[in-house]
This record gives sequence, structure tokens and C-alpha cells, in this order.
Amino acid sequence: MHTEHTIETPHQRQNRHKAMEAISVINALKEDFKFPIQSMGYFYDLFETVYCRHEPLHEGKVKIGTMCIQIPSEIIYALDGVPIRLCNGFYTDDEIGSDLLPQKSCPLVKATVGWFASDNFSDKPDITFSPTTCDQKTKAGAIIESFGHTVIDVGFPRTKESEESHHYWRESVKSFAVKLSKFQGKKLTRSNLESAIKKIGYAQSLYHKLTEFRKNKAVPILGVDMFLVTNAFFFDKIDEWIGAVEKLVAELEQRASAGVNVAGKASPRIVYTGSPPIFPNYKIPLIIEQSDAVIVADETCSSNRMFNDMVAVDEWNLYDMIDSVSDKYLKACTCPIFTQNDDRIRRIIQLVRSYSGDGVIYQAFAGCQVYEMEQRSVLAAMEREGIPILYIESDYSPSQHGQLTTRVEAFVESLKNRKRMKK
Amino acid sequence: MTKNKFSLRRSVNNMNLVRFRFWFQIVAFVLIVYGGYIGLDLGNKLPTFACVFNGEGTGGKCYVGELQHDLKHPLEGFVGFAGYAFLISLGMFMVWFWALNKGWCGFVCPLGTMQDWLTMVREKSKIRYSEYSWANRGKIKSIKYILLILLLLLPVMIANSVFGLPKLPNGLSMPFCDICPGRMMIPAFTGHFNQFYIDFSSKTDLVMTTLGMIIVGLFLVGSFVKKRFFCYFCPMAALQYVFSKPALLKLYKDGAKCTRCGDCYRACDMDILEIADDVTSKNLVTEDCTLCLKCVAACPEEGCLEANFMGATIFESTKEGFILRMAMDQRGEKHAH
Amino acid sequence: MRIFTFKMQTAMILVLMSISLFADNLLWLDEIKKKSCCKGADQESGIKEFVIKKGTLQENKKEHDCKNAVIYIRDMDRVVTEHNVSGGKISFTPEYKGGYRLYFEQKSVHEGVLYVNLSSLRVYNKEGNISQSLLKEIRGKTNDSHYDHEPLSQLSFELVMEKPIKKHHINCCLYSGDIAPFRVYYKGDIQKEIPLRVSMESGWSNVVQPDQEGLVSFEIPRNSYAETEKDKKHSEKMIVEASYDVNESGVYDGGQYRSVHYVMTLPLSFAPSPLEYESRTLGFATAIGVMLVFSLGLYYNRRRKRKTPKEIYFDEE
Repeated sequence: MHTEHTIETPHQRQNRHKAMEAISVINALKEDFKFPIQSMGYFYDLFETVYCRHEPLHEGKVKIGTMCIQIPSEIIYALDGVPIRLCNGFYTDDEIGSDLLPQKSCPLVKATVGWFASDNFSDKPDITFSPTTCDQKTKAGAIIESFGHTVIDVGFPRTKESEESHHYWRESVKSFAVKLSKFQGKKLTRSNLESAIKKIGYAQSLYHKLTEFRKNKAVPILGVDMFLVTNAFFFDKIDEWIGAVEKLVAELEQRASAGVNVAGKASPRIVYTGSPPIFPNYKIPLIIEQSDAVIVADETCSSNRMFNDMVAVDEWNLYDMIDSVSDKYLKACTCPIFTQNDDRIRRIIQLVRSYSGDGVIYQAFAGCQVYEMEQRSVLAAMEREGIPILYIESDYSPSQHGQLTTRVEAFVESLKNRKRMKK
Repeated sequence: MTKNKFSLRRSVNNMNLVRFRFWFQIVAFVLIVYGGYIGLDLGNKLPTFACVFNGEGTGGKCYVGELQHDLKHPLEGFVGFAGYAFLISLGMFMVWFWALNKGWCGFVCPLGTMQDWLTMVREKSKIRYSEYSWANRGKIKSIKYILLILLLLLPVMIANSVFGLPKLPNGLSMPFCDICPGRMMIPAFTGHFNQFYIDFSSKTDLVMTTLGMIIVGLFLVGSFVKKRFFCYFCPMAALQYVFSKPALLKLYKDGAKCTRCGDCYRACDMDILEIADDVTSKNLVTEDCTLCLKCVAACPEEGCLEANFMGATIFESTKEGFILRMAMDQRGEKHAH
Repeated sequence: MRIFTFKMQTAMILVLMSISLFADNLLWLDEIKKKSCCKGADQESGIKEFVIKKGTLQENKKEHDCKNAVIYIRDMDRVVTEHNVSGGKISFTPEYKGGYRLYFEQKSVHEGVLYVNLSSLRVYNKEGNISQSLLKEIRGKTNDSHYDHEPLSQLSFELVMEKPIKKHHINCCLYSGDIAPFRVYYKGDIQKEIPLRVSMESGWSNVVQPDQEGLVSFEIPRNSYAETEKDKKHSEKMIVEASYDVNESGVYDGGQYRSVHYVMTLPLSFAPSPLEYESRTLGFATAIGVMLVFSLGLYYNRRRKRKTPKEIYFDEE
């Protein structure tokens, strides 16, 4: 029973605000679209549990915080840890972080820093590994450490073509493995790494099955739902995630054979790229799909980039497995922090081709310098290829909603016209 | 997921290439090394190391040996029969070679198979492989061409005085065979260890046979620690590459589908960088490629790499195949490997 | 003088009269080797020339009387052609590259005995006729055996050499120390009791008895007089000879005979064993030494490099 006289603590207030942010997105996902998917219920409940009720998921387990996708979760699982990816999408935390970081910083980094500053976790990481990817994340590590958290930097090269980078990154991953193994008091062995690689590989193979359905003419799943599924992988218990996705695959199979289409017949198919939509910051994806378009594929580090490339091992011995794991996180990565990024452009084009996309929407967080800087080259490449593209700059604040909706709707309309003209 | 569930193409693309290649290599090894005992005779123009010194066991003969033999004639002889014989041999070599392209190296060559066996022993004993640095990898590429030129030139210089130089001693009549580890290793499989010797009859023989012994020692240790150690230096590979363009079997790459994830490069025994980094070329049979197709098996992108025979795809990379080969298709905690 | 390791039965010191009687009048085939100075014209014609020699390896002369003589030539496809001999010279133009076997046969009646003199020689032809041997060159056969395992059906009596047993690595050609096995055929059947007489260019000769299966084999002796220091690969001739008497009467060329006497010679040449100038032990030692040095080098090179940390190790659980 609530009593009238209780004064809300800052944490309670923060949690209430976050719950409000979370529930509005969950409700939108649940209710705003036709043909809801039953097995998505697991994910809606999961996000409600974690972000509305703030219940811990991994009690009694050692939680390993990761600041970016480059920290190999295979090694964390092999060493009995639970990886928690700390990329944050809450405006509430973004506002807290704003006081600690420069004005024009990336909202994702601000939100993560804000989260640590408030020290208000349902599953608090026992140790955090921070790969030196973009400037802001690199520097954020030190700031977080100053709040009294254990943060360990993992050196990450910013070119991927050179031999030196390969060696540097392989050594970095090895030393990460050593530090974690000392922290955990457990050795990394051939058998525990092999089963971790294969378990994550299986999870990735399920993601590939999901995306396969999105190639169909009748798209059986919304892009926002897909973002939620992949987002859940940031913190969920892996076995339960696998079970839920298996069910989802089975349901999508039925829907695909029944020809269920979550979008309209003429809805333009969108390939989404740029700064990662992280729950509950599904602002742009929601606007897109509420404007009668459907996201069929994406090129973001919160979704596709996290799952697309699996570890490929040639010799199933520890020496080769560690190198394979390292290579996966460097070579296949299309992060804009790299000096050259033709791979990302080719990837977007390939996604448009294989998912029969009608256009590309490129979102960059205001303050995410690398995505902002890559905008020109991607736009030029799309123009060369004759692929319509919309570039949007946004942040976590709810204020620009109207203006963004107008722009997205206009773009979707033009895509529809283009489609009609083609016919 | 509109694919036919039980199509032949699908099962080929899903095959366990490592196992297929292991057995294919054993069959080819038996035919080449022991084929002679069952009356197999594939002729003496094979584009692979079917060793002449293997006596009755050999199921055919290596063209590099024949080539050195064909060239040891006085120049005026090339106007007549020797010239025709040379051209016919070269033609037949090309015909054989075009059928499999460099697949002769990756699937047939007994010396290559031996190296793969040594690699398997190393893998089983959990000893890490060695790699060349990229710079050294680039430097040693030219050695095979130097060896090829020498093996073409020396026999001619025995029979002729080239540029007024004195004729070379007869001990150099098979210069490459003298230093080829196949001469020692292949007959050893039919129980003949008599090719391990040092010949003191002349200075040339002494030098060449000693070199041969040194190289066979390097071969055994080298291919234990480095996958396909010898293939980097193989003049047969150089000779083959000269004629590789019109071959029927090809390794094609669709650069648009490539994410440059480097899985193919990881799998490549010859550490060929182009296979991962080249997104513009279609034909990826490079000079050191052995067409072992491990890269195709390791590629997770749908249809990015493919083995193509006369325009027909016979084996291509698929996501499903990749997942099966990496044993990532099941939830199971433990995987037998 | 070196003691020969000779497979000889001590009981065979008594040499059969018939063998010694005709020993000095042996007939054998010999190829005329063209000298390099006068190669040009002959090479284009591709003619191979042979003579019949009479006498011992040391003292012989060309036999010009080739009355009633016939030459059979068997090619690598076992196709046999017959040639008549006129004058002392035998010449033929081989069409293919590869090994040919020549058989010489001469019959004459002398004092009621039909003498059949036979000789066989293997020749290798380097340059064939391209229009004839096109298919053969394309096929490029691997097996072109030096040793004939079946007797020629045209001859009633034949001495055949089988594959020698060797301790060294060279498959072609004969070397001292090789064990050369022979068989004697009469009308297609193996004759198990006919000894062979072997005579060498160096003057040495001996008689070899067959074993129970009729195989006559001996180890080719080394000629210790030869100056092998200068020419380690010098070659020496030898003749292996078998004779056989049959009681058979008939008429040949107007002459009556009551018995037939066959003599067959196989002229061969051999070189000193390669084992004399090569060392297998050193070969193995070099290879193993290189392996040791290389692997130790690799081992220390790997040790010098940064090692994989102890927290990462192999566990087969």
C-alpha cells in the first residue's frame, strides 16, 4: 500500500521515468500494429520485467559489462560470466549524463554514463570491459571508472586492413581473456570455448532464420519487433532467448505460409542504417512503421551487425578458436569508426538488393560524429546506385517527434510514388 | 526459405567438405601412388606430382619430369620430332590441367596430400600452426617462378651451348627432380627408401643430391608447422598458373555479396589475402590457389564464393552450409568434434 | 682380384663340351652407335643399324654370311615384323619413340646337325616418326618395360631376361650387384635344366645352373680392373648364352639332319653399381640433421616470441 508521505528517492524517480518511457514503447509495439505475433509476448514481458519493474535477471551470476559489440561474448560465456551490453537508449539516463559530458556528445554515450553515474542497475555489472572504438566511448570508460566502477580498456584498432591491426587485436583479445579469467578464477579451455562459440553460433543462426522471412513479399514481422528481439540479446539469459526465438521462428514459418503481411501491399520496404536504435529509443523505427512503411533489414550494431557474422574456426583447438573469435569482431565489422568503410556501403547495397528494399533510412545520433561524417559518402554511393535515401539526425529527446514524422512520411510517400511509376 | 528441402544442390552445398576432401585425396593418392600395381596408366603428362621414381607403383607420371626430359635435346632437334613431342606433351598437359584447374593441387597431388596429413597430425597434437608475415608471404611468391625458369633452362643448357657458355654437366638433366621432396617421399610409400642418398660421382650430383636431402628435411618439418609449406615454392604451381585462365573448373567470387569478414582467408591453407579482400575480381584462382575449396566451405554469405565447372555452379557457399559445417545448427551444449 | 659373390654351384666346374666347343663362334647382335660427328644426316632418316658379330667379346669380326637369316622386330605394342637380312648390315627405321626388341635367327645344316643361332637385343629409339607416332605421343604411356616376360612365338627356343633385383634406385639399365634372372623356353615351355654361360668383356666367364623352378639368376660381378675413378659410370658388355640339343630329324635347305642344336645369345651391358659412389646413410643423416636443426630453430623461435598466457590452456574435458 502506498502511503501519502513517502518521498520519492532519486532512484525511484529515475526508475519511474524509465518505466514510463519503456511502457509507452512496449504498448505501441503491442497495440499500434495489425496482426500481432503471439510469441513476441515473451519479449514484451521481458522488457517490462527489466525496465518497468526493474527486476534482476541474473541473480547470483557474475555479470560482465561490455561497452560495445567488440567484446567477445563467446569468451565471457566460456568463463561462466553473463555479458551485459551497456549501450543505453533511455532519455532519462541521457539527461543525467548530459551534466557530465560535453553538450554535443552522443546520446547513447551520455545515457550509458548517466546510468553509471546514478548507479541504479537491476543487474549491476561486476566488471566492465570497454573497447577503444569511437572517441566518446573510449573516453567514457575513464569517466565511468571515476564513479568507482571497475572498467578495463581493451585496445581496438581503427583500421582493419593492416596486418598490424590483426595482430594487435588478437593480442588484445588474448589479454582480455586473461584478465577475465583471472577475475573469474577459471581457465579458458578448448571445451568451454568451443561450446560457447557453438551456442552463440546457434543463436546467430536463429537470427538468420528470422531475417530470411523478411525477404518474403509479405513481411511477417515488423522491424521494430526485430529490434526488440535483438535488443533482448544484450542482457537476456541466452538459453531463454534461444527458446523464445525458436518459438518465434516456428510462428513466423506459419505466418509466412499463410501469407500474413504486417505491412500494406504497397508499403515501401526500408533498409535501416546508422546509429543503433536501442530500447526504448525506437523513435525513428516506430515513425517509419507507423507511416505505412516496413523495415525489412538493417545495418546497425544493435541488430544485424551483432548477429550477421558467426565465428568461423578452421582448427578446433584453443589457439585457433581465440583467433577466430578475434577476427570475427574486427574483420567483419562495418562500424564507422574505421578509417575506410567501403564495406559498410557495399553491405547496405547488398541488403537493399537481397531484401528488395525500396529505400534506405540513415539515422545518425546528433553528436555521433563518425556516423555524421560517413553520411556524405553513403549518400553519394546510394545516388550512384539509384537507391533513394533519407538522412535523419536525431537524439533521445521526444521533442522533435512532429518534424521527424513529417520528413519520414514525405519520404515514404515519394517511395510509394516511385513504386507506382515503376509499375 | 523457398528452397526445395531435399534437392541435390542443397545437399552438395551442405556437405562436410573436410571429410569429402579427406577421402577424395586418399582415393587419388592410392590411384597415383599405387595405381601402377593394378595396371592404371594415366600417361606421362599429368599436371601433378605422380613421381617417375616411384617405379611400377605409379599410376601416371608427372609432367614436370617429362618436361625436363623433353627439353634436353640439341636445339636443331626441336625442328623435328623432339619439337613435335614437346608440343604434344605440353598440349596434353594443358588438357589434363584444364579439367581440374588447380584442383590437381588441392585434391590430387600426393605431395599436397602428404602435407595435409602432416597438418592433421599437428592439429591432433594441438600444436599451433606457423604463418608467414604478409611481407615475407609476398616475397616468397617469386621463388616458384625462379625454379620453373631454372628447370626449363638447365636441361636446354646441357644439350646446347647457350650464348656461347659451356654446356652444363649431365648431372643437371633433371634439376628439379633432384631437389623435389616428392622424389624421396612418394617412392617411400611403396616401400622404396632408396631415393634418400647423396651421390658422390660428380660435383654436380653431389650438390644436387645434397640439396635434395636438405629440402626433404625442410619439407617434413616445414609442412608439419605450416600448412602446405612446399606449395609456395612449387614450380608445377607456377607452370599451371600460366595456363590457368581457360581452365574449366573455376573459383568465382561475387564481390557484391562479400562482407570481407575474412573467414575464407582464415580457412585458406595458402594464406591468400585476395580471397577475402578482393571484391572486384570474379575469377579468384590466384597463383598460389590450390582450389581446395575450403574458402567456399567457410564462407557464410549466400552464393558469394562458388566452384564453377564450365559455367555450372557445382558447389557454392550458403549460410545453411556454413552453419552445418561449423556445427552451429543445434542447441546442444556439447558437440562432438 | 676380387672374389665374386657368385651364385655358382661348385659341382658345375665341369663345363659341358657342347658349350665350350661353340663358345668362340658365338653370334650376337650389335648396334652401330653413330658418332656425334656424322649425326646430322642419319638423324633425320632415323635409321637404326646393326651388325652380326662372331667370336668372343674380345676377339670378334663382322659376320657377312647371313644366308638363311631372319630378323624379327617386336615393338612396344608387341607387334612383330619380319625382315630378311642381306649382307652383314641390318637396318630398320623405327616409327615410334621407345623400346624395340630385335631377334636374329639363322639356320644351317652342318654334318647332319641343324644349327639354329639366335640372338636378341633391346634398342631404345629416341626419335620416332611424328605422323606414325602421334597417337602414341598423345597417350604418353608410362609403362614401357625393358623386360619381356613372354617368349616370341616365332622362335622355338628362347632365352628371356626377367626383371632384375636391385639394391639401388635406378630402374633402367643394369648395374653390377644387380641380380639378373633368366628363363629358357623351348616351344613355349620353360626348360628347367639348361645352364647359362656368361662371359664379360673383361674376359671373365662362368656357367650358371638353374634353380628348381628353372630360373637362372646371378649377381652381375663388378669389374675391378675398370678404371672407375675416372669414369664412375663406364659401361661394360656381357653376353649371356644358352644352348639346347634336340633329337629331331628333317630336311632343311636341301640338307638332311638328325638333331637340332639351338644357341641363343643375349648381349647386355652394365655399369658399376651406383652404390659405389653414393651414400644412403649420409642421405638419411643429412635429411634428419636438417629436420633437427629446423625444428629446434622453430622451437626456440616460438619460445622467444610472446607465449600464450597460462590462463589459456588446453583441456580435453
